[in-house]
Amino acid sequence: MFLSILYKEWLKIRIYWVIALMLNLFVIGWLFLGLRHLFIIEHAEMIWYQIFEIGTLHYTHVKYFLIITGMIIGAAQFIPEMIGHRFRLSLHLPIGPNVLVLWSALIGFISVGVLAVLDAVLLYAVIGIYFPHEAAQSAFLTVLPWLWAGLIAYMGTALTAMEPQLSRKLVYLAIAGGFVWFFCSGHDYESYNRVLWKPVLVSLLFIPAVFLPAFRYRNRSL
Amino acid sequence: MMLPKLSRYALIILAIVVMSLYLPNLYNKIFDKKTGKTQLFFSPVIKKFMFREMVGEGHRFVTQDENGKTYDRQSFETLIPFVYYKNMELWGKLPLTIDGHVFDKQTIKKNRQVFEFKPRMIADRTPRIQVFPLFESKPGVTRLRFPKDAFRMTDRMEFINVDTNIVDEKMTGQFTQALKQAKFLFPAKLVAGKVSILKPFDEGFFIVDAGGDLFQIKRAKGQPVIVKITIPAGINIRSIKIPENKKKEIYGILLSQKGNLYLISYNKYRLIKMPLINYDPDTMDFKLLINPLYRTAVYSSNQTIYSVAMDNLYRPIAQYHRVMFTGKKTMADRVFEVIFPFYIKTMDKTSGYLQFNTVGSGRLFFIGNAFSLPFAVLIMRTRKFEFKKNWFDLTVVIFTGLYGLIATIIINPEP
Repeated sequence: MFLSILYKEWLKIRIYWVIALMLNLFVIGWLFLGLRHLFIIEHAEMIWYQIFEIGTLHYTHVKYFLIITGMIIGAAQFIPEMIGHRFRLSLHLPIGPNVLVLWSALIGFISVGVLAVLDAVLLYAVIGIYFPHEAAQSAFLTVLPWLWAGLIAYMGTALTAMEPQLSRKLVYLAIAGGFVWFFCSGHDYESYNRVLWKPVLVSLLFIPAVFLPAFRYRNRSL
Repeated sequence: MMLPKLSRYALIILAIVVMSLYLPNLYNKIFDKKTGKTQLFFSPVIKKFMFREMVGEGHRFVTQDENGKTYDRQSFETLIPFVYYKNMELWGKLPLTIDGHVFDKQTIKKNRQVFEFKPRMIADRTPRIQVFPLFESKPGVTRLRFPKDAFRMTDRMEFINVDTNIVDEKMTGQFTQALKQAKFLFPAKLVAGKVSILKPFDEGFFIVDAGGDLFQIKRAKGQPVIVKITIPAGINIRSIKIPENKKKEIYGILLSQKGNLYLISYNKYRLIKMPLINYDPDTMDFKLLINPLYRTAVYSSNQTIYSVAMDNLYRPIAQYHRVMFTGKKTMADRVFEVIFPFYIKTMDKTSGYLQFNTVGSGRLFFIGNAFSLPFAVLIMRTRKFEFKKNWFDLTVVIFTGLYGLIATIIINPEP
């Protein structure tokens, strides 16, 4: 049954996932071109100084694209289900409704996670071309909270899309937005190093949180 | 039914976390008052501590000496003439005569220095990628220039060419060999230096080796210059700050693991211990004011400011401390305690690292929590929610006050 759900979810998101993949590859490609151009027009020692000492981050735009990705995948997965109450059909599958919702959310979560890992690996590789591995490692640690924000954006979108009541949708948006904002609020490199595990641990509560809007949808729509 | 209930509480916890992150900040944005920290000096004229402190909005200042005598702005500045020596010149009061010594503008300028050491400057309180440029100390030109390589300390001193991002084996071998000859034990525990070409000269880097010994490493005409610095036994170095000041009296300031501050003097690298009482390097800003007659250490937390005046040999001659106006609680602070039982602190000016710490607001929180509870009961009655089924909501409100009240209202129980 899991494979069937996986296939069903993949059919829903595949186009959007590929678009998101292209978007994320474009962002990393843009970073590479930007650094290449910078090293052509500027003295390398000054670029190294700006990065290590001043703390200039050349990859801040990475911050927004996984958040956009999370929102796209979340919307692609759940908004069509809610239009015309198609989600009711899914809830009639020979599987518990909570299990169905959990699997669906985890599939979307993992699909965004795959792009997050790809972003992190490619970023490490691109930074490693022009700077020592210490800088690549630093970039990796710096973007981790931003990438996690992308996953929270996905969960927030899923919650909001599944919720039948408008005012409650706004509550879920505010909660998810609050977490996304926190994960994106550091301005310097590696500023989350000592603390990231705590908000990540708390935000894992977004996973069990998906049961409530699904329950509310089921009880109001069926 | 159990799973949606757990799911609801997951959302309530998330909502409480978000509120405790942002609502206190919002409150502070609205009710924060403009207050500056106290400026504290030791007057070489009257041999007393003097301070200037903002005590309200706008430009409400008090300017007093340690005995409470009030001064106007000009008298205050005249009593600390080494700080305001340019004004002294403007007012025709130079040269000065203090204790039989005459001080003209050049003498004052040559013999004054201000040195700051803030918690954020401690090596382990702010992230720093451990790759540094080792300047040419004798560049043969008027200004320092960035080198074409940068170094990192691994099991050797590795130089990386900035153009190719490849290790320069020749330079690496040269410096590693010199360090080994000076009995340096790899890897390094701490690398400290000032990375700037705007400094007047270069003293290289002060590096603590794996054995805890301190070395100064410079590049002079491309060659390594290594000095092993003898430090008294029992001083485990936590951080070093190098100012590179033209006065050339102190190389820098050294913080030990025990929280003691030492100056590294140009006199054979002798360490001078600062005679500080109640100094906490992790929370307090430290400032050393050097003038032709005295050295004054000033350090402060958010509440209290301390000062020690010393003679030219850093022997204490007077001490003073006071609770600053900014350290006193206002009505807005008390209301904050009532409304918010706790908040999540994420930023702190003492560290470059973000935090995610739950901090209690103060003792008055129970008033707010006690008020929230009847509100929660009233709302449950109005909405006809069963107490028996939803008693845990009230527990949440008892412990989290306003946050819990809002969270349980906006994410109400399912019928």
